[in-house]
Amino acid sequence: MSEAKPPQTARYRQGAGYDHAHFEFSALPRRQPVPWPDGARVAFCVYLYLEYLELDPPKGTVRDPRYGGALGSYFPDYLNYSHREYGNRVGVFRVLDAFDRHGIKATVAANAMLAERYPALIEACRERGFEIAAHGTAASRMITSRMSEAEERATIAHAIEAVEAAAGARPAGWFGQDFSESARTPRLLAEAGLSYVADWPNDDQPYAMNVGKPLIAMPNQAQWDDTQQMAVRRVSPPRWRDVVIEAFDYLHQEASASGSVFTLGVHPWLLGQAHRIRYLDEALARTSQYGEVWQAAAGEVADWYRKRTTAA
Amino acid sequence: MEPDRFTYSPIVDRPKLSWPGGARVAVWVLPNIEHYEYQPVHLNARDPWPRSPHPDILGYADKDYGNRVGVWRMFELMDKHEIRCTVSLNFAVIEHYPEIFEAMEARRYDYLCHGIYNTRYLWNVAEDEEREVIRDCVETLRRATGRQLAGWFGPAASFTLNTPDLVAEAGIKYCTDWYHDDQPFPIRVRKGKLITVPYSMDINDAIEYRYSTEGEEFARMIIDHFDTVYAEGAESGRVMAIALHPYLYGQPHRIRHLDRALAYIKGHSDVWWATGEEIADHYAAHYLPALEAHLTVSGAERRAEA
Repeated sequence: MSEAKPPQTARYRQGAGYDHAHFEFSALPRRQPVPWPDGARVAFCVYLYLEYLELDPPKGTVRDPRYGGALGSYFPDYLNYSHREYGNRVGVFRVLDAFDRHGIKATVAANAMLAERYPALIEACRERGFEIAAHGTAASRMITSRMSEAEERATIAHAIEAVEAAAGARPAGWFGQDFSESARTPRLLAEAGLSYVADWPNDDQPYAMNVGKPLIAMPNQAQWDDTQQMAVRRVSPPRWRDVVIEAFDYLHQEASASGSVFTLGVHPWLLGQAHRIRYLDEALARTSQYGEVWQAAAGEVADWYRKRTTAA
Repeated sequence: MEPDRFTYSPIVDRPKLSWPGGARVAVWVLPNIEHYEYQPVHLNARDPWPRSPHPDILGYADKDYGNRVGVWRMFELMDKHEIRCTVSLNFAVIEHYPEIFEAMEARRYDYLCHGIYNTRYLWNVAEDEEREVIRDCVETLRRATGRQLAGWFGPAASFTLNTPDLVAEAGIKYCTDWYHDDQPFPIRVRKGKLITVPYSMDINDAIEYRYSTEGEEFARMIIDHFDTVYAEGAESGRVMAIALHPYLYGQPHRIRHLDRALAYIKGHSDVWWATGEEIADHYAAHYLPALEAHLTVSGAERRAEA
């Protein structure tokens, strides 16, 4: 027998507010302005995802079902596994070349298995002065409410330690695999000492989370993330390039008193393909023509925001 | 058994429908302003977040963007074009997001009720429970504005076989759950009267978002659709609905495409920029009697020929 449910008309709460306590509602026109350094109109963060996908993930792990590809995903999935691996062997070097050409300082979301298995990739990013953030265990393991609190805590700790071991510095930021969280993730991230999280694509500006400790939600604009557009929705690469430029241009003209953040999610297995790389290059060539842009690592932007919004 | 809710009626055979001022097309613009639950309690037939065990923060945050950011850009755009919108509204938004409600009231927007939450579907809901949902919505609007609810659109386009009867019973004039016409049309109900007003599942950004359509293509769709109904409207009036979601077209890469499409339509005369209730009222007062007579006569003719 199923437990009794509230009536169809029941509200999750009386009056104003959300149905969770992670952060407060905030309407765009009612915010206190937070200006960027040197009057920049847009803070521009490039998120480079370095991911290991398991060929044989443990039972009970959850993988985002939208990435099965044209033929579906069955066990053992050499196709999807090696397609991702192409990104780490070939694609990433095309992506890094494009970043170098346009002077991009990226923020790297590196998962634990990648950091452990391919330290050379972490080193290539470190040489360039990129910030390295933690990104879970593997691309095959979303954080979900199916995990126990102990498992989730261990996953976060392992991800942080693996990045620290490979990069030589403790990560400040967190990127959940495929924007995944359980209902307790923000609290556990704050408890683990992280200072920002880029899991919530609900805003063009950072905001503070309500987790007892200072944890900033950094924008992560999934709407034009390369995988959301080109792998899931099959938007064509030239159209993706246009979308990126249009979004950048709009945020740049909209920002006046308060700056926005423009984030660009880049997955080497996708954009590093020979037929797509030119569109990343073209998008970066266009965005680098704008003045009053603060191209920075996510951690720098989160710190700036925190210092200007929390009382001294 | 087939419910037989309406009479088959080819649009080309009907008497001429005239809009106020001799307009060819009644255009109504419908932002869908919604709340999707973080951890939905009722799972009726459809899983709102099928990607993973709940919560799905990608889905949740995507929608939340509309209320935090997108809707404010969309309000500004509608102000620029002087468009009075009909908001397809999850009615709990009135309570949970007072800033949004105030902004809509300040603009005298019309409300088309879109249920309570967009994750609370009517699929398989028992008749009494559905009646209670509709009554709750009628009461919510009366409490907030003193006005009687005029229009109904099932939450996330969910329905039961009883919906039209229950909507009419609650004193609601029109519903948008039927996608079969470019003009309003009467729907048979147990008691009272009900008409449909054409909404759109074609000129609808949330439908197109499920595929690869981006702003450039969607603006093209709006313009092409308008050109066709505008030409046809010279013969007999048409309705064009533009169904929008602030979480999609309040995005920085899309809003200028919407601006461009609206400016194109604004550049035409003989367009009636109307709300859902205005369309329903005009149709009921000035056209419905003639249509009913036409349906009776043409029905009698059909029987005589048989």
